Amino acid sequence: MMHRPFIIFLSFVVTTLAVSFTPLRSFARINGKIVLGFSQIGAESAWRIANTKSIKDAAAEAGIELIFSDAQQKKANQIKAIKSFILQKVDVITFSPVTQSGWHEVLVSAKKANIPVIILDRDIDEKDESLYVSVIGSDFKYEGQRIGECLVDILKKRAQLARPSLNLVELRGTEGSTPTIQRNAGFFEAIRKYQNIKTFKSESGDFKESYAKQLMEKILQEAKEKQNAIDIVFAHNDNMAFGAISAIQAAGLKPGKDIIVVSVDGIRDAFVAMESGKLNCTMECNPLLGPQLMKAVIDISNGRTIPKRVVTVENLYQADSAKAELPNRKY
Amino acid sequence: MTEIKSSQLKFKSTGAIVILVAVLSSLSLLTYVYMKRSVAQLSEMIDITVAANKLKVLSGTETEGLPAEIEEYALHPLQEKERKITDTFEQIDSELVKIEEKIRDDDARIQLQLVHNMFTSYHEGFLQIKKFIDENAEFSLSVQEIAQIKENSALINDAIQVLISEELSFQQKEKESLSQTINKTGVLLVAVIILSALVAIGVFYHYIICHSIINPLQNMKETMQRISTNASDIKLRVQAKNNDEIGSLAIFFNQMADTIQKYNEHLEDIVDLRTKQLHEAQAMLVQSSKLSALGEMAGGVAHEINTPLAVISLKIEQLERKVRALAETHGLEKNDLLAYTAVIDKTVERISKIVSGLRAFARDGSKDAMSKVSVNDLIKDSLSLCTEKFANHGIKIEVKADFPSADSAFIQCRETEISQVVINLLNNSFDAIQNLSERWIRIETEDAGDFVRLSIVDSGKGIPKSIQDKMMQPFFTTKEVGKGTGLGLSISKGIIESHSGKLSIDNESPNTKITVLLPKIQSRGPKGTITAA
Repeated sequence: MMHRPFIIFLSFVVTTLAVSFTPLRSFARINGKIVLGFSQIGAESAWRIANTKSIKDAAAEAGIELIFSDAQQKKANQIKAIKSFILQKVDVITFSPVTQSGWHEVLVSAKKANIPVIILDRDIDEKDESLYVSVIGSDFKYEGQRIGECLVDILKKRAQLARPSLNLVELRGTEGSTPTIQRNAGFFEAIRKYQNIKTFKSESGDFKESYAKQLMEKILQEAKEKQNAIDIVFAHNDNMAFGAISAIQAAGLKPGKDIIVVSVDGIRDAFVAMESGKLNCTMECNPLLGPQLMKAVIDISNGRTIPKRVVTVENLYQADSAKAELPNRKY
Repeated sequence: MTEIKSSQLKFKSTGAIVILVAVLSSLSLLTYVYMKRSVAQLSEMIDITVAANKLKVLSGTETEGLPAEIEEYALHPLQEKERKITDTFEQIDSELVKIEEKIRDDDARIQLQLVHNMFTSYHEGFLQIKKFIDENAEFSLSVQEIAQIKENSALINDAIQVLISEELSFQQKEKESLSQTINKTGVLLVAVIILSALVAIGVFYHYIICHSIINPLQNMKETMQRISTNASDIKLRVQAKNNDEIGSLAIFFNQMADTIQKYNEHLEDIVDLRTKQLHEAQAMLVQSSKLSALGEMAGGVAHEINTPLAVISLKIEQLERKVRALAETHGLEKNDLLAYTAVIDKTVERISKIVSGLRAFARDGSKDAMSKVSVNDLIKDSLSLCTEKFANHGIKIEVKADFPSADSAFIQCRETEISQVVINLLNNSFDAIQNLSERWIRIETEDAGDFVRLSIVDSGKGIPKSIQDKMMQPFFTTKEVGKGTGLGLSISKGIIESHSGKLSIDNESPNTKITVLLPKIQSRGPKGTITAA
């Protein structure tokens, strides 16, 4: 097989430096530090912002030079960023994939350039596991399952589970993203046996509060027109749950009472909402991945092997435990 | 004498200027440093963005620059094309070095290192292509590969853009400090200008103060110091150079010195004159005391002579009676004897008169009471004391009385005093004319309204003007020393004035004429007043 130049072009071939004249002086690590290129999805939610802050703080604390790139929810930006990281000869590449698929080509380039890749927060569809070193983040399917179980628990407590029909609204995250896919899968797996829970609407709010609010307003209007009542809202993150809560209140209903609202993330405001009874349950999805990531980066740089999957330890919180937990929430 | 620090003013003035200049110099230095810093900051800011933009051009776009050159080189691998690409990379390297030298922001520096790495990767990629071409003559780049190369350029340009924006945001921050620096520079510059003006003014005033005030004052001070320490230096003068207050001060100082000098010289003259006068007065005082002793002695002598005269007079009377008796009894030729005794008697009488006149003269009559006296009697009595003397010297005395009526010839006076005046005046005339060929004295009395005018005219030809003023002063005399006392006229004048009269020299007369005016007694009142001289 012949090595094609475009592949080599994006690679870090030490041998070539020795063979020919080079006017450019080659840098080792910048300021003697490990250089980590990180492509973040964006700043769409409080969770994401907390996540970014955690990574930046942890990098600074660990003495790692972080090259931060905001993809602004666009896959193309992320691919560009990763390609730039390869050209920039960073030591480690990390990215939180906007979508689950379409990463093969760029991961191959990174591998050819001998740059290890850590996938953060979300997983990807990639059969060739050699293209990345590790996936660090939450188990979204587990999160979906736990929140599904929690819903069943709430319905049981309220003695509503036996109702002939319960209308569910699902506010999904970014289309094609791992948390969206997996939270959906886990959630519906957990409530599968309760056939009376019917999905009235399932739409994507792109993890954003404002989108979710607009969506929910529309859905409530539609339900009213069809003379249906919405019983449950499952939001894929807390911010979308807040959008739904605003819409429910605007419609003259009581969120948390008239409509059960459950979500994932467990950000501080979710605890505030639970304390006031507007949110019923949230499944923690820890955004503070910085320290874990930096530990992995240092381990990789020192030639140690790390597990292919690092799952963050997370808890479920219901309204009754919100008040006690609130002071502990940092984000 | 205290030593006064002479150059205090000059020292202060110079000190102020030195301080001003020192402050100005340090401010100027500070301004220079700030200006230089501003310019340096500004030029660095420009340089980095200029170099970064040049890098962008060198890395190229889709249609030109490196990607196009590499594409062409892959198609036609010529030496010169390869050289050109290598040149471009060399230029890129030099630009990177240029930026690296000037970059100050940490974020931008990291970005620059990333850009540098990207170019390194780019260059390595090119070297790989070259290697493939060298190894395989039929090698060519695929469409995807060309696209990849172009994308790389785009990625590098993006990274450069990030570098530029990071540098620009750093520059934005820098601008604030730069503008502060410029502001400070401006303030400093204004301060420097103001101070320069102050220094200029200061130097100007320093010159003025030194030239117009301090130096002339110094000059004046030295002159004054010399004069005050040494009186003989009174002739020293200050140079008055300028026509200002200090100049006029110098002029007035000089004038003051002139006046002092002149006054000093004049004072010496006065002292000489006064000393001479003092000596004369002392001599006259001696003469006067002698005269007064003589007067007392004359009184004593007259008293002593009077008693023997009375005895003689008595004895002549007795002798006369005896002669008559003897002549009747013894038939003596009594007429002859009586004629003798008559002569003796007459002579004694005459002696008595002289003595009583002498007594009257010797005694101080100023305390006597005023009495009504006939002018003619007064003259007659006075003449009786001295007619003998005049007759002996061949001096003819004429009395000329001219009164309209008998009562107008009376005056109210102390007779002895007025008699003394008349005798004095007659004696003066005697002294003046006794050696002349023509010798006469005329006493004129006439009525002059409220006054009696009494004039003594002699054959002299008048008194010279030059001595007329002095002759009324006490002790003035033209007579030889020992002869006159110099008191006669002044005493006479005092007496006449104490009688509300007037004694004067009549210059209109061709002869020497002294006129005495005395108030006369009239039916209207005992005394008159002088209404005209």
